[in-house]
Amino acid sequence: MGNILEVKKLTKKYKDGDIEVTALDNVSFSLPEGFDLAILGPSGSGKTTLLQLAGGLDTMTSGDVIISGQSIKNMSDTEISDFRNQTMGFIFQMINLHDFFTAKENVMLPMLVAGIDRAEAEEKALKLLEKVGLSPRANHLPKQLSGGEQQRVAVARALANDPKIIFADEPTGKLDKANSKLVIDILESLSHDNGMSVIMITHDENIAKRFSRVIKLENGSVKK
Amino acid sequence: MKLKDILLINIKKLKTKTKKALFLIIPIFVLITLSVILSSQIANIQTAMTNSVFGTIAQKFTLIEVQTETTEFDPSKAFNATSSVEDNRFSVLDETTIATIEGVESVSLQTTLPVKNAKTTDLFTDKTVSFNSLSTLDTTAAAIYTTADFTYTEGEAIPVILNASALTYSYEDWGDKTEITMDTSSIIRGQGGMAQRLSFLKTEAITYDKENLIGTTFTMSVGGLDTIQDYTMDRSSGTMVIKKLTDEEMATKVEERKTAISTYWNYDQVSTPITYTFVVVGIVDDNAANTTYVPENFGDTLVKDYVAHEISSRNGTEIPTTVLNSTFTGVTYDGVEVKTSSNGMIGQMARRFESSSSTSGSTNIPHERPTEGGLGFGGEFGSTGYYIPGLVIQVDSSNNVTGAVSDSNVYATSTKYGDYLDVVIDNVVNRTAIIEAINDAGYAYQDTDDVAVFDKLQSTLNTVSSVFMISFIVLVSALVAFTMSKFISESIREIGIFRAIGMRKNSVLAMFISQSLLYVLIGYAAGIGLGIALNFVTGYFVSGWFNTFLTETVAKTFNVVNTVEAGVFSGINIGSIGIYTALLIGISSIISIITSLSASKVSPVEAIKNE
Repeated sequence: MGNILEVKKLTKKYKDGDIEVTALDNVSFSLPEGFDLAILGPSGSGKTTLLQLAGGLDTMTSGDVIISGQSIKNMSDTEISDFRNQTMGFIFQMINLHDFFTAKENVMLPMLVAGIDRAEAEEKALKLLEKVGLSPRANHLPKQLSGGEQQRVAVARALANDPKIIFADEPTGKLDKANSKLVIDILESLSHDNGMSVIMITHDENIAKRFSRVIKLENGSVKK
Repeated sequence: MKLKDILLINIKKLKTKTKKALFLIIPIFVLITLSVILSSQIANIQTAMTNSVFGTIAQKFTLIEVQTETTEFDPSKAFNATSSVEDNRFSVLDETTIATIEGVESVSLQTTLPVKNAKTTDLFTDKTVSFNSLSTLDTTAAAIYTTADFTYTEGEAIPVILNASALTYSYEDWGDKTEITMDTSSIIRGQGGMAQRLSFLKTEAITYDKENLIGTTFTMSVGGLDTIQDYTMDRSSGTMVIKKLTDEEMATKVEERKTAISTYWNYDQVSTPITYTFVVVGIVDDNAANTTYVPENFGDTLVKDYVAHEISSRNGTEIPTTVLNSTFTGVTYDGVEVKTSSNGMIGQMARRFESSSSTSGSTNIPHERPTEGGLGFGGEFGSTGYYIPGLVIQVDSSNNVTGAVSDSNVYATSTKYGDYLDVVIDNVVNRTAIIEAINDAGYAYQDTDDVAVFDKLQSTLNTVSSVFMISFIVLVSALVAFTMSKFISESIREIGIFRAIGMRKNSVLAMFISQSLLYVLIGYAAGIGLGIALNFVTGYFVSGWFNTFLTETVAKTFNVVNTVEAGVFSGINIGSIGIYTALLIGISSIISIITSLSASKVSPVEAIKNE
C-alpha cells in the first residue's frame, strides 16, 4: 500500500506589502491510501494554505506535494486542472454551488468538464443525489435549498468523477449540529464505500476524532 | 470540456440572470436599431436625390463638363476673343491627361461637327427646328442622358440626344409694316443685344412632352444653302431703318446666287440637303455645351457624306483659288484640322458674330459684302461670300488658299479639337476631389451653385454617417468592455469554483467570450428586427421632410424636380447593415477576448476564500 498523499517540506511565503509572511513552514507528512486525515488548528495557523497547496489550487514556494504517486509541483496549468478534475474533489466552507444551475446540473458539472456526455453525466448525477438523499430536489436551484441540502449537493459534486482524494475546508462550519452530522456521515460512508481518502480542515475536536489520522497546525508548522 | 456544454452554461446563466444580461443586450439592441434606421435612411435619401431630385438626368452628377477657358466676351475684340478660344481648345492629349485622374471613368472630347443648316420639319407639326450645332458623344458619356445604346448602325435610325434649349423655332413677324425704325442709341452693347431687340425676329420655345418625344423618329436635313436675308438695314446716327425686301428684290438676290454657284456646281444638287432618319433617345435639360448629340461613330460618316455631296455636285469647271474663301465659303483644312473658319462658321460661334458685329460698329468686319450678308437667320453676317455646304478649302500654313479639297475622307483623317471634355466619374461622392484634381492638372472648372447644394447635402449625410459610425464603434467597445468587466468582477468566486473543479483556462476564456457574444447577438437580432420595422415608420416622416426640402429648397435652384414616392424611404440598406454587423461582431469579439483574458487568470484559490 502506497501513500495517497505525501507532503514534503512544504513552504508557502507571500508578500503583504513589504513584509514577507510565511504561511506554511517546512510542513511534511504522509497519508497512506484508505486513511482519512483531519487538520486541526486555530485561525491563521495555515490550515487553508495547506489545503490549497495540497489540492494544487495555489503554487508552493518550495517543497513538494505527491498525490497518488504523482508530483504536482511542475505540472502546467492544464495538467493540474485535468488532474484536479479526475483525482480530487473539493468541498468548501462557503457553500459554493453555481446559483444558475439546478442541484443536478451542479453535480453534472465536473463530469461535463471532463468531457463526459450529458446523458451519462445526468444519469450519474441523479444517482449521486439519491445517495445524498436529494432525489426530489434534483431540479431545484440552490436558492430553493436549505444550507444543509446545498452542502449535500456539494458533496455529491465532489464525488462526481470518483476522485481518489477529497479536500474539505470546514464543510460544516456554517451548518447547525444536525446538518453537520448528516453531512459528515454521508461523506464518511461514501468515501469509505469508494475507497477515497478525505482530508478535512476542522476546528471541531469531536469531528476530528472520527478521522484515522489527525495533524495539528500552529503558526504554519505541524505541532507534534 | 465540450464547446456545446460551455454554450449551455451561458444559456443557463442568461435564463437565471436575465436582468444582468439586459445591461448589455439593451444598449446593443438600441444601437443596432438606430444603425439600421440611420444607415438605411441615409442611403434612401441619397437614392432619392440621385433618382428623383435630378429626375430626368439621373446620373448628372457623375458628369463633369470641362470647358475651354473662354475670355469674357468683348464685342470690340470679337476676333481676338475667338482666336484665344481656338488656342485653348482640347484635343486627344487632354483626354489622356484627365483620364489618368483617379475616379475618372471616361473622358470624351465633344467634337462639334463642321456641318451647317441641320434642321427638321417633322419633329413638331408646322414648326421647323434648327440644330445650332451637332456634336459627337461617346457611349459612356451618353449613358448620363440615355439608357439606349448610343451607337450608329448602318440602315437603322440614328440615336440622337436633343438639347432642350435647341427646341425653339424662329420666325419673322413684320405685322403690316415693311419698314421699322429703331433707336440704336438705347441698345446696350453686349452679346446678343441687337438680335434680341430686332422686334420682328421672334423665337419661341417649343413645349414638349419628354415621355412622348423619346422614341420619336424624325428626318433631319443637313446642308443646303443659307436662307437669304430678306431685309436691309440702313444706319445713320442714332437710328437704324430696317426695310423688308420686296418679292422682286428677293428674287433678284436668289437669282444672283444661283448664277454665281452654277458656274462651278450643279445648283439643284448642291442646294439640296442630305437627310437622315434619327430617333430621339434622350433630352439634355441643362448642360453648358448647348449642342445636340449624335453617336461618336456617326460623326465621320455624316461629315464624309456632307463633303462627298459637295464634291459630287461640282460641274467640272475648276474652281479658281481666288474665289475660295471670298465668293464661296465653307470650312478650311490646313492639312491638320478641318476648321470652321471665320468665313464659314457654324453654331454658337456664328451667332456670336451675328450679335457682336451689329453692336460693335463693325470695325473688325469687312465692309465689302457681295450680295449676301447682314443680320438675320442663318444669314452670313460677317461673311464675305456664299456658303457652300460641304466645301472644304485647302489652305497652307499661312492661311493662303491653295484649292478645294476633293477627298471626302478629309475629316475622318484630320485631327479633332473641341471646346468640351465630358468627364464621367465613378461616384458622385468623389466629385469634389476629382474636380480638385482636374484643376490641379491645369483645367479651369468650377461647380455651379446647383451642384453645391447637392454636394452640401451629400457631405452632411456623409458626416452624419461617419459620426454615427465612430460613435457606434466607441459605444460598442465601451459597452462590451464595461459590462463584461463588471460581469467578470462579480463572478470571481464562480470562476474560482469552475477552476477548482478542473475547468481549464481556455474553457473559462471561451465561456466568457461566448457569453458576451451571445448577449451581443441577442441584442443584434432584436435590433435588426425592430430597426427594419421602425424604418418603415421613419421612412414615412423622412419622405415628408424630403419632399418639403425639394419643393422649398431644391426647386428654387433646379428647374427639374420630381417629388419622391414614400416607398423609396422604406428601403433597407443591406450593405450598411452588413458593415455595422461586421463592426459589431469584430469589435465585440476583440473586446470580449481582452476582458475575458482577465477571467481566465482568476485563481482557483478564489473558490476557497472564506469571506
